[in-house]
Amino acid sequence: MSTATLVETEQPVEVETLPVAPQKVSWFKHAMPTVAFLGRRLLSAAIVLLGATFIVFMALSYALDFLEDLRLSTDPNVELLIAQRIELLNLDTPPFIRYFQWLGGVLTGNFGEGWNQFRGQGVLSMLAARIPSTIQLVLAATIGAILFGVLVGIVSALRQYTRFDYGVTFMSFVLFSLPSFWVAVLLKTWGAIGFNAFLNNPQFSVPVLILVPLLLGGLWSAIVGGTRRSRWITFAIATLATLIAMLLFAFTGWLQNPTLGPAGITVLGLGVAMALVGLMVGFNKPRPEFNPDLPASAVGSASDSAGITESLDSDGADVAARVGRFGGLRGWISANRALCAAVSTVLAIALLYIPFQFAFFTAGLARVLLLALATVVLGVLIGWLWGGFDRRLSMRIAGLTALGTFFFLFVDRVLQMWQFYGSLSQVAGRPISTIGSQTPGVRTSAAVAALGTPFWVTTLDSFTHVILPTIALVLISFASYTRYTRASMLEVMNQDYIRTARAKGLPERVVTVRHAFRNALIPLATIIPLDFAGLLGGAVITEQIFGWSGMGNLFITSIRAQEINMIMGYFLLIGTMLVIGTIVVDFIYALVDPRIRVNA
Amino acid sequence: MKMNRLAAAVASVLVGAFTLAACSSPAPDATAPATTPTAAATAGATGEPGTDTTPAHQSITLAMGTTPNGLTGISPNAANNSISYITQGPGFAFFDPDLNYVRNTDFGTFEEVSTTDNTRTVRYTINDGVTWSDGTPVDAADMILAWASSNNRFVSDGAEWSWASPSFSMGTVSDFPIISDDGRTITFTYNDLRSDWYFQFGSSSQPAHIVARRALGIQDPMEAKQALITAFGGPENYRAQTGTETPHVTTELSTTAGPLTTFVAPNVTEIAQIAEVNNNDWFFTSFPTGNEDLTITMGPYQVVEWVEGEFMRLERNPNFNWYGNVVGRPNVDEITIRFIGDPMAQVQALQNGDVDMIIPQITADTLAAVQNLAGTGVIDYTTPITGTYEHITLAMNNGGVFDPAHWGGNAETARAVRLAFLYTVPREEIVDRLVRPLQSDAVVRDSFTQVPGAPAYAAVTAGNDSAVFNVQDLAQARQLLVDAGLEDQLPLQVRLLFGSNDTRRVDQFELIRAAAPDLFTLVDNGEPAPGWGTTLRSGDGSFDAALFGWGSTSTSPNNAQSNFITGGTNNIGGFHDPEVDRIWDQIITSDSDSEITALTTQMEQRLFQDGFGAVIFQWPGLLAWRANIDNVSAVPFGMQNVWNFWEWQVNH
Repeated sequence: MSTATLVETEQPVEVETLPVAPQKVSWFKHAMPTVAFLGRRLLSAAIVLLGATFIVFMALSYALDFLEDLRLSTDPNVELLIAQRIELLNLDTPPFIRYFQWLGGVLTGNFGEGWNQFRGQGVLSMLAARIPSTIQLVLAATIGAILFGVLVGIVSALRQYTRFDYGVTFMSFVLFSLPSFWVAVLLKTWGAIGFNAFLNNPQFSVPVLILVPLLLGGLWSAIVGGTRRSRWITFAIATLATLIAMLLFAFTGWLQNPTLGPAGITVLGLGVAMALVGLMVGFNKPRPEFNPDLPASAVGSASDSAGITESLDSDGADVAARVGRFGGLRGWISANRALCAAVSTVLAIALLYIPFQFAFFTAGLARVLLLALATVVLGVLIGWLWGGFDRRLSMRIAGLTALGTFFFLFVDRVLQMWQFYGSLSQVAGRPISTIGSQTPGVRTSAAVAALGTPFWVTTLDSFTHVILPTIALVLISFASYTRYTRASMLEVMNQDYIRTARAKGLPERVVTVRHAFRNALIPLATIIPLDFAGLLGGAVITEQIFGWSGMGNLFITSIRAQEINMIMGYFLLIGTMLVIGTIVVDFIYALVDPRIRVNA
Repeated sequence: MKMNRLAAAVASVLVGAFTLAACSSPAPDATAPATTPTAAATAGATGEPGTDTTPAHQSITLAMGTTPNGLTGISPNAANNSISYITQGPGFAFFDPDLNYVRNTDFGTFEEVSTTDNTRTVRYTINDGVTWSDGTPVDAADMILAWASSNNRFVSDGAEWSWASPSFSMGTVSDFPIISDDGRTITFTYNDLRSDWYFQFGSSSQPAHIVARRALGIQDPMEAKQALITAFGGPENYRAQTGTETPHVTTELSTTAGPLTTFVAPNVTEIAQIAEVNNNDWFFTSFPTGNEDLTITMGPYQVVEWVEGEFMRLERNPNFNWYGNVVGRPNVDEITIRFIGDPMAQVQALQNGDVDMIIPQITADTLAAVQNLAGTGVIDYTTPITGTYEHITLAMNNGGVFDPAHWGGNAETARAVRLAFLYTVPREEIVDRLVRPLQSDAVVRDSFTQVPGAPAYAAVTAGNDSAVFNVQDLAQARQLLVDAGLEDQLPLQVRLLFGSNDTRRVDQFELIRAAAPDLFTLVDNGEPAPGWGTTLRSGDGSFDAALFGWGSTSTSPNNAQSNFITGGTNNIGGFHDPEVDRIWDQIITSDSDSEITALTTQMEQRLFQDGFGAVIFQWPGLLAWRANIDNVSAVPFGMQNVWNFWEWQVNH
């Protein structure tokens, strides 16, 4: 029921409706259509919520049996208890009237309270208590599913009709149809029980040492693709690398104390730098055949019409310019400088490893965030110092590299607690947990209190608890993102402007990243906000199986305990989020797709 | 070129980094001041620092399927009650696995003082030296609170209040209890001769002085206790209105009781405040930070940490000192309780070491998983019985085939049809196919009132004719119908009501239906919960037989009375037998265990002979624990696996 309309880009409708001298129109008049649109949508949202809460309330009133526990009671007092219950819950009043009593309460800010399992607990305070753990659980999973799903979807589209594509399609449908309780049980069996046992005796059996590298090698060669020869080379390298890594894990006892150290951080940071430069600038050497004097105007106009959302800031223009006007030479230099900036950032952070450890020693979340910010500023500064034509590009890449490297620095510091954490009596050498969001007693234990800061242990403790449910949620929800992205990417790749972009000689990387990828994301923009809006609903089954007390658990517990006020509070919150989500979708759509305006 | 210089820089830093990593092995700990964790880690591994007990620190983590919603025993929440039992101790008495009612003389004593024709006077004493964890003695005030707060016979002239857990028995106490001079004994009189009096009373789990402090604002504990007693009036202030009935109380069970008293309290405002605090303040779902007085306990443990919906941690109450021969000082220093609703998640948590003891719902899956674990030798398990039993009740007042009205008022024909139908119920097959796979020693339960294994079970089942009637006998069933002249009307239609979302019930229905299709056509009246419970009570005559479970909470038959007497609240099928009513009047007031057993046998014999219904099996349970924990067992009622928590022992 989107009310946004499609309008031709070339004919901005505002021009027709506006007076002759648009510059004299006040901002208010400009904003009027949007405000009216917003007002209408909010009004309809309120009506939707009113109707929905009424339906839900009536359904609950008839479906829930508020006397369930008393029906089979053998208490000689049962009639008195039933009379008390009827009085407590006002069951003599028709549900229709009770709905308006509830609504009246909500409008005056009284959302009621629980009477059974949540006896004496206000609805708002209960929701407030559950939201943080839900966000902790579901936010990471949603972001993970989106990133992973979009990535796999794009690769799958770029490798259309290859074995990789078929494999991804197959896995998508398998994962999509897997029941989450089953995934959860398997994850616990292997990811927690099996992995913990493995940690205590980290030896790979020979079949595992043969099979896992071969599988990973096959996966990588399918992803990287290319000619038969390059596929075999990828396969060989990936297989060998995996084998070596596994042997190193097994023989160095790294898993007992899995820190990265300055060397690991440097290597991983360099990886981030390479990936960023590769994505944002590319390593393509100048190709003489695209050098000749193509008229700048031609390139420019091609670029303009190339992608609907292609930004015409320095970046977009630069891409065209680099290849066309400067014959790739400038692009090469930019890449060179950006790479230099990124690499020097990594090196600078690696050299600061020991100062960082001192800063981390008593750190809490606030200081870690500050340090991250400082690191990014350092990266940006290094990018600025390298300068060159594309100073801003260097700064951006160096800043992002700094962030990535800092992430590994953070992971390294958390992992430094691994051995200590495993040796805590509450953990007893089995770090990965199957239940709950924290190990009871760890946060209050004397051993943790003796540390400079409990932050690193509690972070690790949260991580060992959140990892399995997050994987479960990602596995079952990323499939749909993959399918959406793949379909959307394939559609975009067949557009005329992609052919144009290729025809004018843009490197495939630019075609993919700038022209195809951005436009492929537009359909996703309609799904993702709604997914985030529904995020507060929690994950009923996953929470149940992993023993998390989040919103999903609140919902199911409330239904079982006939806590009608809690269910209504939950429903009102989720309903409101979703209704707002749809409005946000309309605005985002108008934002990312200039053909669409929100004034209809 | 710049690139070359950059490559050189990368190389040198990498070399430096590797060297750094290699030479200072736990690099970060050696270089940063973070060397302390290693030492602390060893301390953490060998024993929790801060506990000076000479033996090694013992801790146990339990899984509970339900989540508590308060630190109180006044709610029906099973987790609350178990946790309250662990923290407060068992009070005056508790059941052991043989269903003996063990008197906890370490805590206090109770005795009957005298009886008249229609009253019984009893005395409860709390031992000297029993204190709350804040040092205040546990005494008569706490017992007065327990009595008053479950007594729905306090009525008011003005303010409105009601108690959260009114108790039938407490309502029959006719006069204000007499408090002894030392303040540790109360004596009160039941205006009723019910024989199960000793299951009915215990001291309050909510300290009277805290209730009074929160309700009336009195800080000094002893003054607060006195104010609470005064608020309820005290013996001298009572205006007893003999013979007045409060509107809600069911009177049907009080056939032997004398005139009942309604207390008109002198100070309704204070009682309303006390009721408000007592009913509500102990309900919360996470640690009551800022209200630590709500965690005060008189037993061996106190709550030190409680994360909403996830876990609760109990540590020793340092002031616990009343342990002795019955309830010993617990061996375990720390008990963590994790709330895990999903049964399979409980099993996997046990396997992963997240918990040490689980009591999941028993299913073929959970049992198989637990048996797998037990095969490795690190887990022990048992399949005890629980307090609920499965049975079939026949409707005799709905105009159906079991109602004499259906046969023109011919009670004998109706009885023959009832007995014939009950003879077709394949009890042994149901137990064999549905229960024994879960609990290998399961038996057909043969008593309407006694749990298998209870002290009186053998005697009752030997004489109640269950050997004749509570069996499958298809020939006998046909013969009864033929003798009643119904041969040409076969098969008769029986509508069976059951909870259809319980697969075990559906399986039972199928087995019963398949048993004798030529005699009875079983109509599936199954409804998913909660609908079937509503239908059961609705009296709409829509079912001829109901298959469901009743729970027991004690070994006394008294609570089952309302299932069988004329007009009883739980007499679903409208059974009516004046002789049964008469025997019940004797059972509930009898003081002699042997007499109760004899009367119960007699009463059950009449039920079986008259075709009241069929008793099938006791629900099985599952309890599994890490094999290095000693002394784990379960009782069918209430406390299940925590009944003897003080005996648990962890062997390292």
